[in-house]
Amino acid sequence: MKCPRCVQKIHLGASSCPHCGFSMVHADGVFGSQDIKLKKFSDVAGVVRMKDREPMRKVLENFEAKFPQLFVSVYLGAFEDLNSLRQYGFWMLNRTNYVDVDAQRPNSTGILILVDVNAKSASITFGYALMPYLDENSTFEALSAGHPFFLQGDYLKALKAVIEKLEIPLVRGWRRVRKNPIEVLARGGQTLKGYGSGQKKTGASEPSSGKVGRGEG
Amino acid sequence: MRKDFVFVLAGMIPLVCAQTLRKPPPGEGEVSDGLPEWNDQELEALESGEYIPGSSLMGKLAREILDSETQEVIVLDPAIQEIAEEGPKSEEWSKAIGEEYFSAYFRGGGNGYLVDPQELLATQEFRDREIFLNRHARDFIIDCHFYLFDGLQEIPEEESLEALVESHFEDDNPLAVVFYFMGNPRRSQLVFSNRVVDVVKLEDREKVLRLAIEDALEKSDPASQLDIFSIQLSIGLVMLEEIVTKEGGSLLGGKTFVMDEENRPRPNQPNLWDKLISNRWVSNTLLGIAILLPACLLGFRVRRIINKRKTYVFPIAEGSGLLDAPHGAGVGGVLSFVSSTASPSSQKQDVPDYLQKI
Repeated sequence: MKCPRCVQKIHLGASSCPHCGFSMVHADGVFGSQDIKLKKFSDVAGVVRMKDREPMRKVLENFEAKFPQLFVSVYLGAFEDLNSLRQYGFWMLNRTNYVDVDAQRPNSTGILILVDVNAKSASITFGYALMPYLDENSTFEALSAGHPFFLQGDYLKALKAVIEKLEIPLVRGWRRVRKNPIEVLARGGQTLKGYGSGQKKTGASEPSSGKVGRGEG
Repeated sequence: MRKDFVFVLAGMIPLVCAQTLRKPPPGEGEVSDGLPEWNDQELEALESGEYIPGSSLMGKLAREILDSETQEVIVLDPAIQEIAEEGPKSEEWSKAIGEEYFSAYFRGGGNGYLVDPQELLATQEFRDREIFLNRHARDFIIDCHFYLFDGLQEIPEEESLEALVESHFEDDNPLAVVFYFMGNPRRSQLVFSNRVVDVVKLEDREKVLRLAIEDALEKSDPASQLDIFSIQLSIGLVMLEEIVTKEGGSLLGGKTFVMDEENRPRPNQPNLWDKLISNRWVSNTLLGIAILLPACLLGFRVRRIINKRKTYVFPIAEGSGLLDAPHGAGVGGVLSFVSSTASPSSQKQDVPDYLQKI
């Protein structure tokens, strides 16, 4: 995993970046320590047409139907002077209460697609539950799939392409984790719940309801 | 002394000028300038017609002609008028080829690349063309033979260019034979040996002759027409050689490359489809494929639909406290979409923000 500020590799258990000392405290110092409330699709920049909003919502719902434990949120902002899209995405994923996401999907199972319309850049941030399956390369590939549509300003198509592309590493990860859950989860700094008490679960088809609540680490 | 001379000369100049500019007073006679002068009697004789100017120079004959009332018309000698313009005695004379030339033309009697038994070309012109055709034969693969006829001459019915090529030239040699009609390039005939016909398309062969005729017609002189025709024909033959080489064929034997093979009928060759159908194993296989392929496609489609509706549930995991973040610190890729010409990978932002500021 990489630090949102210095983009250096850090250990999965590091409470702060060993290179630059960055942590959540620093992000709170820049962007504020109060939680914010948002919908999972927020077009603050106002670049998505009204008729495209419903299809956009449909895309997000389809993703949630396919991955019942996960959700995708999209934030389209027009920032005046945003220092770091990575840091802002990191802070937003940790400080946002999504009002239209059910409680069974905590932020740790969320994927945040953050687009700065002014700076013409996009980033992806994801929660702990997805760290075994997603990484910088796979998320960048997903963003690249939407690149031509981003250039055209067609954000609906762009986000649709990005989300569809994100599904590929997730499905691949799902297959891997079915075969060897402990090893795969360990790669993302995760442990199988209950594994320490001697129980070994593959959990490939287990529902996630009530396992990780919102706001839990 | 010199000063004295200058002063004298300066004094004479005004005097001379005054003399020159002075006009004689009215009634005073003109100063004689050496030309003959008219006197009053001569003027009266001229006005009355008695005196004819120039009579002293033209002599007595002129005097008589001028004095006569009617002038004599000079008429050509009638004997000269009767001489008719020399031309062809009849139309048949110009069209027929003398039988004495048949052996040279059609019996293989003519030697070399230029056959002109009627001596239609001047000696020097003949040599020039012969040298050119010899050089062409030496430098290139397709040799070129010219048979010269007069512009209106007709080839005898029992003879033809094709027959000549078949009988007197070897099929294995790549060559072109031309019947060229002096002053009338449009009538030119061109035939290739079988070696060339096998590897060159008909349209390309026709194009060679057409271009040579078109270029020859730009000249008016028959000898010049022949020059241009032979040069253009030589160029065309070289182009044919290049085409054959480019297509992987050869005019020198060995691998025979047949371009027109697609157009040639193959009556005895069985159809590939009939062959396959006649084989029982192949026909059964084809039948199986015909059934299985749609089934596979249908199955693939059904599987896609099922996969689309499939849900993926991950095992329950316990998170970590990376960077003291409560929910997640999974920092993914950052993509810039500023440039439409640069690739997405070249617009990946993977440097720290403080370096971007720099």
